[in-house]
Amino acid sequence: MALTSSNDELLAMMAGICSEDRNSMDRLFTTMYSSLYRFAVRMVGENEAEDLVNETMLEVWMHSESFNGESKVSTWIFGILRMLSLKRYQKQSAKKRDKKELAVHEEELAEELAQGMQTDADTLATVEEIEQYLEYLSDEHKSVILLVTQGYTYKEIGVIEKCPENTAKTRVFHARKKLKEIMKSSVSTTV
Amino acid sequence: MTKIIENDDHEDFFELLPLYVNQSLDNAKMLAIEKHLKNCAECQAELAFEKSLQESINANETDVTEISQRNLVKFNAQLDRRLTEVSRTEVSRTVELPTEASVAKSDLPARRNHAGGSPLLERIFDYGRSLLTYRPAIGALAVGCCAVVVVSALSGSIDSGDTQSPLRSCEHVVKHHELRVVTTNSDSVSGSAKDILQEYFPDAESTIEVLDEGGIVVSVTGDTCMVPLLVNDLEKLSSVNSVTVN
Ligand SMILES: [Zn+2]
Repeated sequence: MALTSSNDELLAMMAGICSEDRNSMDRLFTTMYSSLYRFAVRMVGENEAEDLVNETMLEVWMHSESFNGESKVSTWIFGILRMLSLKRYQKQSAKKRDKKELAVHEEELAEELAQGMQTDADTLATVEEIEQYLEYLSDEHKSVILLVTQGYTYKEIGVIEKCPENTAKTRVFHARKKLKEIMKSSVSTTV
Repeated sequence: MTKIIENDDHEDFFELLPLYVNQSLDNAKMLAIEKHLKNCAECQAELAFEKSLQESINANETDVTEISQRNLVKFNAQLDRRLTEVSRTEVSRTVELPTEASVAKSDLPARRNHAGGSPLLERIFDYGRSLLTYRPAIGALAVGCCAVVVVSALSGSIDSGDTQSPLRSCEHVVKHHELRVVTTNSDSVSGSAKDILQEYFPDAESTIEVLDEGGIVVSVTGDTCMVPLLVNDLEKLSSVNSVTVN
C-alpha cells in the first residue's frame, strides 16, 4: 500500500527537522501518524500505542542527524518504532511470563477463537478474527506480517527488524505458515 | 532469455506473493509472477490467502485524525519540556557561568558516561552508523545539523523559551538515580511523585520511600536525560521545599 506522502516529501520534512524547524516536525508527525499508530496498537496494545508513537517522534527529532537517506524516511522511522516496541514487549512479556496468567490467557483466546469460526481456514472471515489470530503470533512474526501489509519489501523489513534481507524473507514465510497453523487448529477445535 | 526471478521455480514465486499483493515489486517481477500463477494451483491458493490476510488487516482502519491531533499537541509540549531542560543543563555543564539556571540545577548529574549506555539507543545509533555511506545531499544535512549543535552550545543561550536548543547532545544513559525530596507533606507528595515517575519512566523500576524523619526518597533506574524533567516537576509541587539528586 502506498504511503500517503512520497519519500521526497518526507525527505524535505527531514531536512527541515535537521535545521530544527518545528513546522517540519509537525508535518512529519501528522503525515506519518496513522501508519505508525496502527502498527503500534497491534504491537503494544491500545493503552500504550499513543505513548509509543510520541516517544518515536521525540527520537526522530533528537536523532535526525543519524538519518542519512540510505533507506526511505518511513523505513527509518519504523525502525525506531520497532526498537521501542521491542523494548516495551520485553518488559510486558516478563510480566506475562507468570505461567498461570499465561495459561488462563491462552485458554480464553482459544475459546474466543473457537466461537464463530469458519470451516475454511484459507478464508479469513472477519476483521475481528484476524486481530485475534495476530495475538497468537510471536512479537517478531506479528511485526513482519504487519510490515508487509504496510507495503514494505523484504529488504526494508530487514532494515526495520535489523536483520539481513534473507532472514526477513524467511521470517515472513514462517509467520504466514504459523498463522495458518493457528487458524487450522482453531477450526479443528470447533469440529 | 534472462531470468527475472532466480531459478524461476515455484519456491521463489511463492515467497514473493506477499510482496505481489502489497505491490512493492517492480513490474518485471509482477509480470513474471502473473505468468507463473496461471499454471500453479498452490500459488493461486496462497495468493487468495495472502490477499484476504492483507485486506483484513488493512480493513480495520478507523479514523485516527482525532488521536493524531490530540497527540501532536502533547508531543509539542513534551518536546518543549525536554529541550528547555536540556538547554539549561547543557549550559550549566559546558559554560559554567554562575547563572540562575546553573545554580538552581547544580545538583543535577551533569556528567557524561559512555560506558553502559542504553543498549536500545546504541542499537539505533549503530544502525545509523552502519549506513554511513552518505548521499551528498543528506551528508550535507547531517554536517549542517552538527554545526547547529556546536554553534548553539557555544552561544550558551539559556532562554527557557528557546525551543531551538541543542538537545542532540544529551547522552542517553540508563543509570540508577536517587532523589531526596524534602517536604512537609510526604504522603501527598509521594502520590504525586508516583504519577510523575510514570510519565517520564513508564517502564522503569522505581520505588518511593517515605522517611520516618519526614520527606521521601525516589529511586529509579532509567534514562539520565529524563532526570532534570523529573526534578523540575517535583520542585513545582506546592509542599516541596527542595529536591536533591544523589
Ligand atoms: Zn507456484
